[in-house]
Amino acid sequence: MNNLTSGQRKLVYGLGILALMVVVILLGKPSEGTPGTGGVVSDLREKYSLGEATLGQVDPASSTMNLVLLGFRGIAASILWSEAEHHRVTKNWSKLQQTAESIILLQPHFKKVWEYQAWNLGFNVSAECDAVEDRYFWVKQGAKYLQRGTERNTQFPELFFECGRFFGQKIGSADEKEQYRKFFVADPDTSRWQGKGDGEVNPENKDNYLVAQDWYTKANAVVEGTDIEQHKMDLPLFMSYPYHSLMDYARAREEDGYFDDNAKGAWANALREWTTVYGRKVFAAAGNGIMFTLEGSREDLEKLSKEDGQPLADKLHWQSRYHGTTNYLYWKLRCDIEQKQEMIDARRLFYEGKKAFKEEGDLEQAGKLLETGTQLLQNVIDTAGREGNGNSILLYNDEGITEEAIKSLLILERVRDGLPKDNFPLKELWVDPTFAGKRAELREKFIRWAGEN
Amino acid sequence: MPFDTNHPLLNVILQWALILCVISVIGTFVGGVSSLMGGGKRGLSEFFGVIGRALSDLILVSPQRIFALATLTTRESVRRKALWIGAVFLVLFMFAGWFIGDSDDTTPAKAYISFVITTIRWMLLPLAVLLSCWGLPADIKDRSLHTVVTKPVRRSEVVLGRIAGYSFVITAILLVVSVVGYGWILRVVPERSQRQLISRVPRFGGMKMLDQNGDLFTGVNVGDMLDLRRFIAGGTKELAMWQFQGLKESDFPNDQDLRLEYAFEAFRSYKGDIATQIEFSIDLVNPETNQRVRLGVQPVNEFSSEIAHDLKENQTENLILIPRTISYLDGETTKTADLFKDLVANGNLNVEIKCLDAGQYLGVSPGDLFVRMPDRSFAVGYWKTIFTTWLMLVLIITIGTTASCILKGPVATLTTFGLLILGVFLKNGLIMRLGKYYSDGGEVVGGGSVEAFYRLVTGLNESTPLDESITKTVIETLDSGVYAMLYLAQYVIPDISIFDASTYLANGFDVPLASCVLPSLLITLGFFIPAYIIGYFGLQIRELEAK
Repeated sequence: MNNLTSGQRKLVYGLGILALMVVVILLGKPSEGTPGTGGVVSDLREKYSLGEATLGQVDPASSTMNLVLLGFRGIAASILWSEAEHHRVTKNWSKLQQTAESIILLQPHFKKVWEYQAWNLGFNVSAECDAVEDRYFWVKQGAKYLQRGTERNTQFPELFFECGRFFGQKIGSADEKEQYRKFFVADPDTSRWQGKGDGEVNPENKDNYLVAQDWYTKANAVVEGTDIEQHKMDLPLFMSYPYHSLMDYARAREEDGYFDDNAKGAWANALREWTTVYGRKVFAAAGNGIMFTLEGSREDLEKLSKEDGQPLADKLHWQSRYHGTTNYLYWKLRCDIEQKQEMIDARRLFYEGKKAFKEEGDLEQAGKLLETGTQLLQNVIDTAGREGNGNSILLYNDEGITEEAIKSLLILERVRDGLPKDNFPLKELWVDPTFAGKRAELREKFIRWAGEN
Repeated sequence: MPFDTNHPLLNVILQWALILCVISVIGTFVGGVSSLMGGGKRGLSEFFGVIGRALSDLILVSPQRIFALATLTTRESVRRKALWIGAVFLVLFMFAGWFIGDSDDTTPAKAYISFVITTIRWMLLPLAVLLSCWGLPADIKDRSLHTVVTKPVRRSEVVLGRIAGYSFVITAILLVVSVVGYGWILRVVPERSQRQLISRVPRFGGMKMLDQNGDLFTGVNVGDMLDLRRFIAGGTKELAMWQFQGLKESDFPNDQDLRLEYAFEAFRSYKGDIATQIEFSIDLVNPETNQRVRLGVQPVNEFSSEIAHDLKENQTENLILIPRTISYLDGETTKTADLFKDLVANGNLNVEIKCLDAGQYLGVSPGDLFVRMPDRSFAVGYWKTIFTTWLMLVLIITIGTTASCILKGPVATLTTFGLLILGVFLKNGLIMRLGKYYSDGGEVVGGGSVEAFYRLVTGLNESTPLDESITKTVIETLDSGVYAMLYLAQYVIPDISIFDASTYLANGFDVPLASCVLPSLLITLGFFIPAYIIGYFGLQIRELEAK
């Protein structure tokens, strides 16, 4: 090289640069969207879903920030995390929100950022406010944050699932659920949403459980038919959430005092979806890959066995195991029972009895309504059947009905100055030690609710 | 975000003048003695000649020549492309909207205001340092200063001309970016947050808390990590009392309501009725006659202020409007009271707050309740903030120019940046530690720097006392000397944090004159005068021939 003249050296450098450019261009040629049309790098990126665009929507601000920071992104993100924590401790909520926004600019594809900061806003910050409207505002902020997380990361089923939890469990099961559910379809920010729900979280102005169902369904769609895995729970449980949301919706409608044909229709819909969609999904047992369906009959499983060559006995065994894990048969029975007119009447009578006791102060009327209601529920329980040990299938599998029934008994006890000593409907709930804890908890709540403390 | 000042301004000015005089006398004495020792009577005479010339140079300056030098400095700066910083601002403002705010249109105005002021401060600050620190050394190197000083120009005029020229350049840039920043804020702040663009004028009162027996107490700590607020128990006689002073009828012309703004915190010891907020009562009490008027009951609206007015109809933030004539219930009868005749006594008014919900708590701090005087426009607060920023930049230019009169460019830059860093980040920590050292009677765990070094070398842990010996006496004497030096040093370091008025503005407050604008002005002037004198002498003794 030393023998070369300056001009020759420049020529060699130029040729070297040109050769490297050709290689780089060939390797990095962008794909046209179909496999094999791009360079090696873009094909590999496509294959392993590593491209920014394949992970979700590309945010130019985020990409710019990451480029500008060069290698200091990690340091900047760490500082922002500390700042966010400082703002949380010092109760500087607007700054906390701004910092959370900055963090996602730097770490848009870090799942925990979205989950943690959404939780921070929706649960921790909202709990700090005293007015329910303000709490709801922060719950929405958390939910919106997560929603944006799903847009940026279309391949994280957990984020879609968490959205479902926000709209289902947070809105529907919080202490403020009565207010939250109303706000969800009639936002307190009336000047902006004109008496409807917040269009950013509820564009179709639906019930919160139906919105939750949409999000759980999206979460299922991410894992179904793809190689993407979720890391929350066993898959059959994970995939049951959209269908549970339908049951939650039907139950919540009744709690809101709607006992018309729509209530029956909501349970019928939940049963149909539970048995014909969820029950027909083919799952693989954890650890051994034995394929089965939860609703499948022996014949169905035999057919499946012939197709995949796995022993029928194994399929039956794992189907039974997963019936237990998902409580499949109970929920099937529950959806069926809840559609019966006797059950709907029992729930209506409980609702009206409670109202007569609390709002109207008509104790006599409350007593009559609740006595009839408990008798109707007892009939339903007897019809539903009992397990081998004599326990009621309906009462010993889920707290929903149990709580409702004990609450009614507590009111009855109050309005009748005690319950009969010999026999009365739902007596097993009153005497069985299994329910002692639940009875004590509900009695404490009842005392506060009835305004005796 | 202080709204009051701990030091009476007159005392501060007198203290400054005294220190300047003492230093001048000591300097003159030391200079005189050393001249006498070095050159005898002639030396002394020459020394006083220099002092005399200096006095005339420092005082008898020509505005025309300063103007000419300032113009020259400005032209130089423009030639060095100082104005290009404007392009950087343009880019930042063009894309800032990407990074601030979210899909929601409820982003508070605070984020946008902080961005503009912070950008202006931190972009112009290095420019001011670099311009002022490199101007003179570059002139010396190019020999252009040599040409200047051959003209009938005093060195003091060179210093002043330089400071004025750089200040002019910075002022021009600051004006342009401030106007752009102001327009940008008005344009990008979401419509629903526009009402946060305001300059509230608070008048605070002293707060005290009384327990069930009416004795002073410090309130309850409910286990909050942030011990900003103390809590009073609801449904008891515990109360928080604010004592407002200096309320004049003339401050509220045209029978304007007196407005009380609050920001309390609620703490629930049990869940209770979640749909109903914790409430408090508010009583106005005449401090002399003890006449009491209950204004009614208010919800605590905890942390609602930024969003409440958007969520609730007719909710005007957390404001209690008190009309001139107040109707109130006294037992069964309705009575009326005149606010200024019956309740305000010689400008004093007491306001008592009690939490009404038994078993729940109300958190209060002194700044949580204030009389909101008539608001000023956002522009007033904004331009005051820009003014304090300008004062900070002029101060930096003054320090930088002075440093460049004595030192070479890189060293002057490091010196000025060092002072800046000390002023921005370390000054408060230094003052706090010194205050603790002197309040603890010179006791500090592990000792000062000399003692710490001794312990390090001898392997002695910081809690083990040193043996009573001559070594201990020497160490402690040296350490007390270090602390004394630091004590003096804190007055030489300018407190840059005082110039930052953005916190007031971003939180919707007017920038207070007494605790921000005036101190900023005085700090700038306070440093300008000695810096001017030092710069003059520095330039006098500096070799202006480029080597």
